[in-house]
Amino acid sequence: MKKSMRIASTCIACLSILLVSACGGADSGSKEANEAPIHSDAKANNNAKCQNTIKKQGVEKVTVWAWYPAMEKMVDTFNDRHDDVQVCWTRAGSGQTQYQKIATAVKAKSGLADVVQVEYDVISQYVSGVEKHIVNLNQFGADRLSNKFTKGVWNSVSLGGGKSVYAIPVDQGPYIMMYRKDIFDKYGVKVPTTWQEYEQAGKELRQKGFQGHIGNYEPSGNGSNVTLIAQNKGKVYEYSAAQPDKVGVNFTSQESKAVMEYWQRLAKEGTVTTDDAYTAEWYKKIVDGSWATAVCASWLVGSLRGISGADTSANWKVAPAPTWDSSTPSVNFGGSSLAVTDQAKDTKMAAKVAMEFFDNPDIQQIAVTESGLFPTWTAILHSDAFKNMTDPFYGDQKINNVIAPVAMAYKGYDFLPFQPYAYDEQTKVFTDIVRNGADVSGSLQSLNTTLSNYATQQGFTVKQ
Amino acid sequence: MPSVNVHHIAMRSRTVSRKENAWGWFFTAPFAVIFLLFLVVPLTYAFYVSLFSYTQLRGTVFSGLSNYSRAFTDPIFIRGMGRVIVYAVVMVPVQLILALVLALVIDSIKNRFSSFSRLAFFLPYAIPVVIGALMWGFLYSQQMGPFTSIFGIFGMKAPAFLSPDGIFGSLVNVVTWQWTGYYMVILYSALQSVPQEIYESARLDGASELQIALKIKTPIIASSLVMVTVFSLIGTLQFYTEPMILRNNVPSVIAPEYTPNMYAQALAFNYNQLNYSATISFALGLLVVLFSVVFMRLTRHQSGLED
Amino acid sequence: MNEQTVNRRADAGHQIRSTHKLASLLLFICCVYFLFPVWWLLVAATKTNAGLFAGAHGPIWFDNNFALWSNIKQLTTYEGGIYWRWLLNSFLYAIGGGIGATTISVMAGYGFAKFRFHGRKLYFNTVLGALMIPTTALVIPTFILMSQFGITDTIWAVLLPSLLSPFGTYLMRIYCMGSLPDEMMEAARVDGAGELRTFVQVSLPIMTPAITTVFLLSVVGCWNNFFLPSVVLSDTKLFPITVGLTQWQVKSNAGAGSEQVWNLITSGALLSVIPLVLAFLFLQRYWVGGLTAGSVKA
Repeated sequence: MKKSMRIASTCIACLSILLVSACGGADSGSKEANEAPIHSDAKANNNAKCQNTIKKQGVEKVTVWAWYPAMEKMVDTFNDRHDDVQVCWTRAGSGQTQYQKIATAVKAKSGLADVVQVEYDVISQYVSGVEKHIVNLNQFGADRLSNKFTKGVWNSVSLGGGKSVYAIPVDQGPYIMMYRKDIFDKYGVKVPTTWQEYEQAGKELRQKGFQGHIGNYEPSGNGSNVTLIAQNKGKVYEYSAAQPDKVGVNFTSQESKAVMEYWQRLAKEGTVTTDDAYTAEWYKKIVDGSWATAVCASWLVGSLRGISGADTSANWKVAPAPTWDSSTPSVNFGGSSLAVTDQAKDTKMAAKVAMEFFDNPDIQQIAVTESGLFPTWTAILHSDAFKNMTDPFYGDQKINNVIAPVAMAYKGYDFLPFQPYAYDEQTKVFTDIVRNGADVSGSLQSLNTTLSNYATQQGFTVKQ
Repeated sequence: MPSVNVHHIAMRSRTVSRKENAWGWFFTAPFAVIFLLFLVVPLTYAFYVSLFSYTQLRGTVFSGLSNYSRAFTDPIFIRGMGRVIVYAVVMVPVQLILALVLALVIDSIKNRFSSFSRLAFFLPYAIPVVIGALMWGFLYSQQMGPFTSIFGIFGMKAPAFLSPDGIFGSLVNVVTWQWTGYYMVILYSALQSVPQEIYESARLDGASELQIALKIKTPIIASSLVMVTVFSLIGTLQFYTEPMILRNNVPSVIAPEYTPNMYAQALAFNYNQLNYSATISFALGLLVVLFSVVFMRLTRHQSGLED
Repeated sequence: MNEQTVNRRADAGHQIRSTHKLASLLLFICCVYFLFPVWWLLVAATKTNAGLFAGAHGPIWFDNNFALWSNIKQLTTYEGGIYWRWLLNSFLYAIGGGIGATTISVMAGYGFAKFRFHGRKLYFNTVLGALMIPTTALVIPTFILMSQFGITDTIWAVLLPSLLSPFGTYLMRIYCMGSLPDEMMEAARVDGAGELRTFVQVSLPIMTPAITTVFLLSVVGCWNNFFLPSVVLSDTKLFPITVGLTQWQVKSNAGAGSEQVWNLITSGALLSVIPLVLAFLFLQRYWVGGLTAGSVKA
């Protein structure tokens, strides 16, 4: 009897110790902090596990999470040239899966890499509110780098172009149109330059016997749908570092409505399909000639590697994205940057890696040619070598003559500090509009209400 | 001899010897440690976390049980719960009936083909759920799957497996494919352990094989059936991996909060709402336990799950 | 034997034969259903990306370009041959977790069945309740607790939670109650054997079929493990095959910065299922016995 009591009480004791230690972690995030904290422990990463092999021993390491293709080669090149620091890289995921890793490490308050790859649309969620997980690199002199990058991406990493710099840009996704010249030639249809022409060309192709469609509208395209509306000067999301407690949600503008009505009409007419994006099926339809165009970010080409040979008759070309009128702005979809986290063991060294990693012609060369990244570095964009680059995928077209001007002219736009939630809600409403013919005004109004309510619930003030 | 036994048991039930008590705890202690560490503690912790609320601008505040009143009025959670219940209502009987029929058939025709079939049906169980779902994702594809051309032979259009209307049946199919063989093997082995003489006399009385199967064999393996039903019920209410994997194929059809488990995961990892996520997990756990208890009460006689 | 009986026998025989035909047809259809996806995987594993996307002869027959060997070769070089590491990890987690979980369950099941100790009833009912708790609900809290102890991103983060097997314990208890008569243990005790010796030398041999079952079930459980490792592991070198292949799927679906590695996913999936499929087909005889013990009321 006594023995079992003793065992039971020991167990309860164990349990309470565990709980106390666990609970300690649960509520310490409530402290008000204006900036993510910095640290300076140069030895903390000595035993860090890396996906790459580090040859130089006894040198300070900085851990990096990134999913760029050919990253290992770029890391090796960087490490070869540095004796003061070595990059210890891991592919922790791709996009959303890596953000989940960040989220878990944030909850655990440990295990986060010093430097992480983040896309422009997620930066604000790591710096808004009471918890700040990305370091302002301004304190390490990052603001001096602004001239090295295109205006649009700098706007994105500084959340509105102010003094704060939350990440160093790497690549971007100028919005362009890839098209199958062979299909347009075969049916004698003119390649569209405006959205009106796009609709006409789509109908014409069908009339002349083309079995596929001119293109696809992706209700689950997340950022690409924000881009399509931005192209018509609709600013659906607003957030800036200058007013960190305020957000703007505006899906009810005439501009947004016009874009959604356009796609609803094309879907209804059967001019375009409404498949989900980035699935195996979607990639197949791009390469097998089901679609005559893909209006998308320039990085898409890189993703088609390895499958592009599926249709040998394909003759791909690149053209500017269709426009609404002569004042349609140049837009961008996607791209990413390197940010320094609040868990960086030696924040200053991590900032150095974030700022200098791609600041090297050889690494930029690998990034552009092997990883298929579209550069944000103005020096490269202006260089003749880049302008004259040809791509066998496009039949040796000098594609950068088309794409680089888009990248240079892009001004940047904002994303909400809870963008993943906004994307998910956006997908539901857009799906309903283009697949089920839901009333455009009503649907956009309810999306606006949902997101505004969520913002208020999270404590933000919604701009009217 | 029997009387001695009864006496013995009666004695034992009154007093627990110190020695026996110690050995009992000795044998069960390792389990107790793991049970505490990886079940009781996380569960308690999840409950503790669910008592707080986190918002981006205000941080973490104690909110008592208010997350629970939010969860049980949250249309997303209620819809997800409703969805898995509908899945359970359809999927559990489909799997069970198919498994039972196949077990009975294999039990009554014993030849090489039936033993081959037994292995074939069981094969999907040895394939990880993740990989099974990945495979079906391909098979369901209009462009890359085989059904477009198979249906084409008959001049028909393949069903849109991954459309909003087709997804329910498609997910039921993935689960049925993966688990029916496993349940069948359980039921089959239960049938095997029944002495054959029981059937012989029925046959002599002129009972048909079908009658024997329905009236004699099925009642005998009722306890196995109940066990299998409970497994499949619990599994369905926790539905997660299959829709999660197929979501990569059709993000617009399978919402991130399609099932309660997926909702909890999205809240924790994508929406930064760990506290509410813990509430959803806990609420789901409560409901699953409730359902299982109700089911086992109803079938107490057959289940063998009583102490 | 009169005429009527003979007729009845003949009728029955006829009936049995036609039922047999119908039953065989059913089995055949089901064989097609259960094996068809496996066949597809077998074929898909032999294709290149281009073959998967637009190869000749459709999805259920081999492409002109038989690429299985080159796919396997690519698996050994892609990302430094990490695929094989994942496969090895899966084995380690499955065997390690399986042995651990079985040991603990066997001991606990035996303890519950054969010893009356204080709190047993409550304790065992809690275990029964635990059978019903959705394990996925525990993943996130478990992760946070582990990170307090600094064991996330280590093999222990995967192995330790997989030691918990309430079902195995339940199965072992039922088996022990049914197959280990108290008299036998008493006899061993009278002969002067200690509890441990009785357990190891008398009880364990009798429990072998159930142990095999619990072991194989735990192995499959660990082999299937997906959600927990995908949360607690960041180091790709520690991934089990399920998490690794899903990561490749996500990578192929990622949009920006994606790489199409569908050929590696299909050939990798095929290779990874072979060991377990073989193990199960050959060991089936040994493990179904224990499963029955748990289901047929003792």
